[in-house]
Amino acid sequence: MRRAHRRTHLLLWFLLAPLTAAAAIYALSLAPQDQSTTFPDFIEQGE
Amino acid sequence: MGHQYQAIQWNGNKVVYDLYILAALAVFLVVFMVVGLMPTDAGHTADPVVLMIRALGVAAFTMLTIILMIGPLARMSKRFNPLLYNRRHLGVITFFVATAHFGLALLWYHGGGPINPLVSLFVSNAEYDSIPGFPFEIFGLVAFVVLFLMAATSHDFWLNNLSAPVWKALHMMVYPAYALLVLHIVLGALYTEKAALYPVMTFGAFALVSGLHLYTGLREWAADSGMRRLKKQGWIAVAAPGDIPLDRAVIAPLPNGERVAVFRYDNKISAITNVCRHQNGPLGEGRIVDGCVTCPWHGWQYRPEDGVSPPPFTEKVATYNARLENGMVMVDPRANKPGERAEPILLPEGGAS
Repeated sequence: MRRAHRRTHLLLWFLLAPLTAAAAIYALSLAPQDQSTTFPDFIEQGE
Repeated sequence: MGHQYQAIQWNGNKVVYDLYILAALAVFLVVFMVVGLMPTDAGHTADPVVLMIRALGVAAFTMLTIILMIGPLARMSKRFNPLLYNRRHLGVITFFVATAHFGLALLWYHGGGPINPLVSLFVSNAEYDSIPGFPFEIFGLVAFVVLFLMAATSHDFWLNNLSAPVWKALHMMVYPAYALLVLHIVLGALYTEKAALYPVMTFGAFALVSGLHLYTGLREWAADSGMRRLKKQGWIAVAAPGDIPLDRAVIAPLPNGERVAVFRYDNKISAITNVCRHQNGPLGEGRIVDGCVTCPWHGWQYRPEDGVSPPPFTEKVATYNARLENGMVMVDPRANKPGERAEPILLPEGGAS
């Protein structure tokens, strides 16, 4: 890889990793708590 | 190499590799379906179509996770180079698995109504202003479009016609696409699956991929930064000849931020750029095959003395002048023109000491 590409690659992951983790954890914290399913029961819950 | 284009490049090894992938995929889907269709304690049985949608989605995400780990792993150890060499095929197969997941889900959830399934995908759930209610399918759709663009351009025709920087930028979109898939899973499957195993697996996969990329990226950034402290002029001491493995190279950073690959072969030492003409692959991580430097990514070859591909190919990479001084290989950091011959260092017969 060229230096510019290496820099872009590193910067991208520096942004993506914490942002995605934070967004995913926050979204998961908002998940509805009134469902309690375990695989393979999700079908019944999904429908 | 570049004298003609082939839709898909196959050889014996690639066929065997593809067959292994397809066999592993088939085993995964069968096991997923068999386990998933087992009745629960309450006597419920999963719908096989929905289960297959989930199985294909899990398979595609797992395959993409593996694909995104191959690059940094190969930078950490040459043992992973065979995976790198076959990564393009794995990527295209992953796209087909994702297509099956997308197509089946679209038909199953949106195919029965009066409106176009693709329109229904956007309008059936319009809670775009809500996080928990957000139509998670959109994240998957955007990621799928990126995978489509990558699969459609996984071909040297597009690499040459889009130009390497554009092609690289396009293919780096797979990282944001992977992040969108994590959100697709969180707002979709993880909202209905409460077992702790599923978020652990999803976050574990993402942490593994991002951790590997950050680790290898920081390591290379440190190497680049160390080189900035070097003098801007003057030849660079790379290694003693005996420290360069036979038919392989030592890679050295240059003050301008680029890298040189110094190969030892046939009692000679030559230095060429570390950047392959094809996809900027790391030539110094390859080896000498049939007298030519062979890129570990896709097998493009260059003669070490002049950086020219063997006939009938015509690609050229830059060479560097090298000399032996006080038992060290010294390299002039100013690159020669691509294809310009640089006299190799001649070593004593039978020794690199």
